Amino acid sequence: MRPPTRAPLHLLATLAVAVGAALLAARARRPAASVAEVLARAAAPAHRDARYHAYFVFQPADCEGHLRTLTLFRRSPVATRIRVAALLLVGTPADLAAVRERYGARPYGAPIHLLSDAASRTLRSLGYARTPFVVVTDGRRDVALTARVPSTPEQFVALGRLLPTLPPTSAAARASQ
Amino acid sequence: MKPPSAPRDRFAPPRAAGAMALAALLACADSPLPERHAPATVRRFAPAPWNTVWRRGGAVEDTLLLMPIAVAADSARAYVLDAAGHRVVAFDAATGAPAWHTAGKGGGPGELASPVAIAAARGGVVVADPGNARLTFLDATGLVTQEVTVADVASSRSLCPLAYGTLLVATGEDRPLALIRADGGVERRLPLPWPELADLPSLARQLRLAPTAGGRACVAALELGHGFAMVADERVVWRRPYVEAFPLPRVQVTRSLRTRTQRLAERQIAAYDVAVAGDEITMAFEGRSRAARRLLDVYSASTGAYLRSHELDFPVNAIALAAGRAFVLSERDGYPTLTAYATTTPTAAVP
Repeated sequence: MRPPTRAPLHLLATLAVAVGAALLAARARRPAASVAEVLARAAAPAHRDARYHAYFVFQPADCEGHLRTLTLFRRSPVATRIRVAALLLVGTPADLAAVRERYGARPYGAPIHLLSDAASRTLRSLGYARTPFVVVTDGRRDVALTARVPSTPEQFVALGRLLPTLPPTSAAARASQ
Repeated sequence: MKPPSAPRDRFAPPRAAGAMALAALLACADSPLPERHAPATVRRFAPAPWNTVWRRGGAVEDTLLLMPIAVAADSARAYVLDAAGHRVVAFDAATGAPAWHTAGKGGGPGELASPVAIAAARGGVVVADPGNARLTFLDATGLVTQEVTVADVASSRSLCPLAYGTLLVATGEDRPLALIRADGGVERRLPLPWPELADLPSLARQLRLAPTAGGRACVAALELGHGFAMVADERVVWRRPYVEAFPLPRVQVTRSLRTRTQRLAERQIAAYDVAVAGDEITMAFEGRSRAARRLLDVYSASTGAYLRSHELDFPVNAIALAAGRAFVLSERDGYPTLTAYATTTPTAAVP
């Protein structure tokens, strides 16, 4: 009796290796997404303007007082330069529902989204393993500022005074030229 | 030999059927509550009869008030609870001069871990500090006169000091009003003034409290609800709807085989602060009008009848009334400020 042929198996294996190699090559050629891009993707900002985008990263366990740090972004000199794009929650969809129940859908005028795994990895690469913290990005590419949420009055005052000193964003600089 | 199996609960569904039922029941169902509120009443606006006496904070004094969340006052002092500073900042009520502030974050005497509520009491001020599970009493000079450990403070949201040293605390418990004795013991737990809301999630039953003159009674206002009540001698004297018809929170119910979970589908704030002076209750209201957060609705403290409203040209974050003055926490250009106004009775209300 003739043994069963293995040709189709070999063909499939070769094809799989070829596709895998092509994918790896494509991935290697693609430039890594910037932190700002990853965050913007995670938050899906509704509109873009010439201001910096601020992202507040937190967990359900973080106390409400930390969230109130966002009042700093309401100050006129800050609000003209920085827009709170989103609050990014580290957690599950159930956590998101509970947080929205507790704080409303748009606390401090910004939507709450789940932090994606990709964004979480990117933020860890910045050195953040604990929440809450704030990331301020300039447009789609650059991280302008990262900060742990103030835990002392001195840090609070310092952050409040630092934020308005950010130089104009690249978009604002281009627009003024 | 096959071991004897444990007797099976005859009421327990078979596993496959249970899994199917679970899958079917996990879907969320919206269960809007019936709206029990009075028909909309048109607000009667009157000019705010206030003259500015002093103002503190703002961009120039950005280290004085960091993140104020509540204000209380008596004839001598205005007390601001500053969440970022973990402290109470006291001002001279007449001049606005800073008088003293507490030590800051910690668990030691006079230190606060995560203060959430403040009220004028015993010639000074009392602070609810869930972080330390205690109430801290300070006199008019900032000295700690008493610190009492109270388990109920862990979920406290608002305080109402009463005569004879007792304190009514609004909590997130099933019976959300706890009457606390001077020694910190819970004298009694009172139910929500609205029995029909007892099954709502605790978030939907949040109360704001304020004492009437002499500490004989407390006004209890639903933060997310449709009205307010007067509580005296451990009973509800009257209940009234807000002048702006406001629906009860929409609750989303999730059922599984064994559990039934309720969540708020929407969090819309009604009254977020309340103060009483003489025979008038002043309610800082958010609601849904174009003037949200700039509205002060005034009601009679005797009957709860609506009297008038004031529309301010700035948002109000918190308000305290004492000795003919209104102390208002607000933001100017985004910077927190405390402003003292001399109040007079308005002569006419504009319909």
